[in-house]
Amino acid sequence: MSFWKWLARRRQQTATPFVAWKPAQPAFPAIVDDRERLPDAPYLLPKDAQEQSRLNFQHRCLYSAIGNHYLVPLRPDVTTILDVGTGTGIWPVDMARLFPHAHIVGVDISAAALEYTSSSAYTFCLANVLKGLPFPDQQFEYVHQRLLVAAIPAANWASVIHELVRVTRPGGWVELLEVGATIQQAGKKTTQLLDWMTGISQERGFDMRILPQLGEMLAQEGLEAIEYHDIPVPLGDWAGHVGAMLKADILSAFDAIKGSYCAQANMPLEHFEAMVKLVAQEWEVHHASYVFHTAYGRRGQKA
Amino acid sequence: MNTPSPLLLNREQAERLLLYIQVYRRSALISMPSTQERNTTLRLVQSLQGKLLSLCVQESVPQVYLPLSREEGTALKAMAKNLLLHYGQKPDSSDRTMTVTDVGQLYVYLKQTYR
Repeated sequence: MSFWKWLARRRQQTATPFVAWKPAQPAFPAIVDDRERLPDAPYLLPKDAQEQSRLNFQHRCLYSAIGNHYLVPLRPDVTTILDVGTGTGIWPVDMARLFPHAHIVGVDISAAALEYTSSSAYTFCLANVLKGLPFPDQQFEYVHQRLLVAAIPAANWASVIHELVRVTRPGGWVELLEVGATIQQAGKKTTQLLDWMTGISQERGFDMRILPQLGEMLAQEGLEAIEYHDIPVPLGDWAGHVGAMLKADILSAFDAIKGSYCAQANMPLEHFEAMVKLVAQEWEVHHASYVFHTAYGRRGQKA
Repeated sequence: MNTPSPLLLNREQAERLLLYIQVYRRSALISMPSTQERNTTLRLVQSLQGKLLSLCVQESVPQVYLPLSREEGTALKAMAKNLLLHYGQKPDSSDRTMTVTDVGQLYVYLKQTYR
């Protein structure tokens, strides 16, 4: 049965309209691929060597796409920086070269992906932002968090942002960068795939529709001078080097999550893989762009 | 090689320059293709924004002295040129005329200083 017929049959079987689904308790169904995952965290992506590679590649891809490793207007002699969800640790390492006066702390729920050891310029430690950050109030001049949409359930976003602001110094910056399910010039098959993935994510408590509200969430925590941008990045070989890099990264990310999604939907992996092949062709024809959502703001001086 | 002249700005000029940088960065990220040239200009302008913000924090200081490297001057020049195109596309109004005049003056100064 083709993916499209399977999707149509599943839609007929679903009694509740898409928008009325309530997120179920994360079920962590049996994984059908051989990727290593965190057993006790609601994290959709694997934590293995292949994912490490992808994260490092993604880091380079983002740099090409948005022109820098960070977006806030940092003063050159910034001294304390926090990276939440540091993954391989590549971001703190590259930032340490840009800001030699700074000490950068990278935290992650798992050390499995870390590729660097702590040094005088950066320190890595374990922390689960969903349970709170292990730092005193007002510790950092700059708090950075990116691409944790697959790690933070929708119900936790407000408390996570509260934590990020809590550990930020007055006058300091908080920056968020995320990518969800918004592709411009998407094409029919891409739209269907993204709608399906959004639905599956929602069943596990994740909601990518929250991402355009990042700026508002920062404002609700009292941050000032908030900038919010939807940055479209070309997706596909049609756009040259940057587009080809992003396409490779997104396809790799789809490959990383297919185990979780297909297990939950009881769908054979081959169906998902065939569908992804088709949507990737669509990106080339339609000249698609993937939208990155970014928001940053400053804690008041007297906060 | 002569050191380029720094920018000496009163507070109002500094605030306006910060606004122009913000407008440029927004526009460049959202609507300009990600080329090496765009990214280099963006990085330099972002860095200048950080420096200028930290200088403006001291409210008692009436003037801001912003040293610029040749590279930074060139980036500001590219930014000003892009902003002239950006504002030039806006509907005609007295505010737009004032902004275009202001950015134009900045562009001319930078063009003369950072050849």
